[in-house]
Parts: sequence; C-alpha cells; structure tokens
Amino acid sequence: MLRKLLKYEFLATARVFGVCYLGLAALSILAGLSMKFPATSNNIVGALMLMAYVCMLAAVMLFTFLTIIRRFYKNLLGGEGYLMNTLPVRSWQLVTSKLIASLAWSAASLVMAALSFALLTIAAVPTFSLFWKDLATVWDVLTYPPAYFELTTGFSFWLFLLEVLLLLLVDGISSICLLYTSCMVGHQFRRWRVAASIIVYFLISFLVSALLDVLPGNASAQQIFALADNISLAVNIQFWRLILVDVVLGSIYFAVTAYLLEKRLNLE
Amino acid sequence: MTEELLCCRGLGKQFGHKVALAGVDLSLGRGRIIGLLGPNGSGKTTLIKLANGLLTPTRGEILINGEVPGPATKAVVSYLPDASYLPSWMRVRDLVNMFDDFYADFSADRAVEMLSTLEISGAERLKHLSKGTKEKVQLVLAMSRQAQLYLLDEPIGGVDPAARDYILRTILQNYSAEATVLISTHLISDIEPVLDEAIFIQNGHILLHRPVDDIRETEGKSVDEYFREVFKC
Repeated sequence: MLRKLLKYEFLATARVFGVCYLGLAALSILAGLSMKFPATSNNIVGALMLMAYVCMLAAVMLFTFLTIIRRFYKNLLGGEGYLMNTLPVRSWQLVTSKLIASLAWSAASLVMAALSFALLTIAAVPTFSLFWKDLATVWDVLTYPPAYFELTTGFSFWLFLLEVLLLLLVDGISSICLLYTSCMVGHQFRRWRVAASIIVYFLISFLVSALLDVLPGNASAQQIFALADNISLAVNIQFWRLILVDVVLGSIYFAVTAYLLEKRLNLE
Repeated sequence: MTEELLCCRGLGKQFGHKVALAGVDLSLGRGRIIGLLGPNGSGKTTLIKLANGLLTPTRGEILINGEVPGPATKAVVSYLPDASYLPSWMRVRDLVNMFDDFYADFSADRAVEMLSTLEISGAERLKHLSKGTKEKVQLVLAMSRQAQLYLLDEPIGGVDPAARDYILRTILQNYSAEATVLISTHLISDIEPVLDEAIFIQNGHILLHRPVDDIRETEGKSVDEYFREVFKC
C-alpha cells in the first residue's frame, strides 16, 4: 500500500516541481548568457538577469518548503482528506508516503540549485577552452580538501562526509516530521487551526533548543577548538550527538503525528 | 460474519459546546436500503463521518463488523461524501485507476461503463467539470465497488431530476443482496420507493428506526407525509 500511496504522492507533485525546475534551469542559462553578451563592464541586463535568477532560486526553495506543508495539510486535513483518510491504509503509511516524497523533493531542489549554478557558470564563461581549463582547476580545488583534511586532522574525509550526509538526512526527517506534528496538534483545536499549528511549531522549536542546551555534551566552537590536539574526536562527538538527537526527536514527532491522525482526526 | 453490520452504542459527538450527536444507539443489518432522514443540521453527516473514521467520537463507540473504523472497515465501506473531495488536478481516469489500486472490491470496467453512459470523458480533469458532473463521478466511483456497506451522504442533492433517476437506478442495480445502503437525504419523496427502512434523526437524537412498510401500515401515510408531520415547523 505504501508503494501505491507514494505513486500518487509523486504524481500529484511531479508536474509543478517539473515546471519549477525547468524554469530555474532556463533562467540560469539566460542569466549566464546575458552576462556573457554584451561583455561590457556595466552590463545592466546581465545584472538584472542574475538578480532574477537568484530570486527564482529563492522561490524554488520557498516553494519546496510550502509544498511539504501544503501536501500534508490539504491532502490529509483538508477537503482531499475525505479521500485519503477513507483509503484502507494505516495512518503511518500515509505519513510515511508524505515524508518520503518531501525528502525526495527537498533533495531534488538542492541538486537542481547546484545544477542551475553550474549551468549559469558554463553559459557565462567566455570560451569553452577556458571553461575546460577552469574545470580542471575546479577539480583540483575540489579534490584538494580531502587530502588536506586528512593530513591536518588525521581523520578520514569520506567518513566525515558520510556523517554530514547522515546528519542532513536525519535532520531533514525530524524537521519535516516537526511540521507534520505541528499541523496535527493544531488540528486538535476547533478554531484557528492554522494559527494554533504555527504557535505549536515555534513552541516545540523553542523547547527543543532549550533542551539541547542543558543536555550533556553541549559544546561551543571555542571549546571544541580548545581540544585542538584531538579535533576530529571533538567534532565527531558533536556530529553523533546531533544525529542521535534528531533520530530521537524525529521518532517522537512521527509517532505523535501517526497517532493523532489515526485516533484524533476531526474533519469538520 | 456477524448479522449486525453497523452498531452504535451511546455514540456522542460534540463540536465545542454544540451537540451534534447525543448518545445514539443504532443497529443496522445486512441487505437493506435505509434512509437516514432529517432536517439540515440534525446529525446525518456527523453520523456518516464517524462511521468512516473521519471524526472521532466524543462518547460511546461505533462499530462496523464489530470493529472500530480502521483499514479493515474502510476496505468494506464505500463512502460518498456530501461535498466534492476529489483532487482537482486529477483526470477522471486517474481516479478510476486510483480506486482500482486501493480497493480490492472496485470494478474498473463497471466504472468505465457507467461513465460512458453518463457521457463523462476519462481524459477530463476534475477542475474542468461542473459541480453536477463531479457529483456523478463521485457516485460512479462509490457504486463501482462491491462493498458491504454504502454510506451515501446526500447523493442526489446537487443533480437534476433526470440524473437523480439514473443515480437511484444505479444504486439499486449495483449493490449486492448482502450489502446495506444507507442514504442520507431530506429529499424523501425521490428515494421513498426504494427504501426498506427509515431512520428519522433530529438534533442528534434518533426519533425512530422502522421498516417503511410498518410506517405506512400503522400511520396510514407515506414516509414523506409522516416526515412532514413529525418535523413540522
């Protein structure tokens, strides 16, 4: 059932995201080209196009964020909830399908942002021979840090990268689940449900950050650097601490969301 | 399979201070067509939503085949809401596929056949359909299932009289002998000929639940006339 839910979740969102990404790609190429021609020092069109590109980039990110909330709220707690909540599926399956699609679109938006920047750069470089030369330089720069990193910290770069990606993933899950939980808790109110959801969101965020401050293992950057002789260990502890916190919080948010959707739904 | 299909025990629902259902006790058997009849705001929609798990009871319980609303009951209940609820970006044929994917008792062939009788194209997007046509699509989807219980909330409220006849015929033709159809409406005269039982509901209370033949014999009038007498303003 989860696979079927995912199919319709992606069907519902693919068209709008596709249009967004195409728009971003087109604008990045146009911005790049308009910076190249005319190659004068005060190229107003180029500057304007670059601004338009930056705005579009911000718009895509905002759209991704709003779609995550909208798909949950409108599809499960709005009018379409009559359809979704009468399907013979469990509530955790509904939540999981929304979560997976949201993670996938967030990742896609980040990749598209990077890709569009690459497109802009390629379109903007004066000649292609120069481009290939630059690319070689870029590659050198990109591949330098791992070696440097390992030399200075004595810690594997790839393991470090894996930790960063893992943290990004669990942080994404717990952030999205927090949005869902806020919607579900706000839904328990009879009136001003949207306002209640927003207040709940900020309240939980505040409580969690206060909790993180008093939890053991909290260290400032200064304290970490004070341990300079074993910086990789200090950084690692911080990483795993954050990953653990996100896993615990994400699990709680998910459980609360699925429970409220199953036991405390009130579509009026 | 128990004889009792749907059962409410002391079922209550409150919205803030407003009482929508006040301790309803009700038992519905199999193989009947039942009218859930009452004026606006009497609790018809609330009762149907509770049976679908879209609302949570404030008190008491509602059971279908002895189970609280959940995936197992949703697999055997076909629901027609009183408002348009289908995602507007979807095409009619997407919806047929979706119902086919999720409901084991759904017949896509039957849905396609009914849609073509009603001259509704599968390629049409929901947002381009008129309100009446949308209601017909919803009804086709609901009646293309071989469910045990059909919960039809105001199925004929928004369509013209010609379509009304077609819809009632559709309901009669499509449900199996073991299935029960619960139709909520205030347009009693239109559905009276097909009813086996009538439930009168007012201010969240069940006033009566009797076979329509029994009403006609003991009261000496049609259900419609009797309804007008009971709910006289």
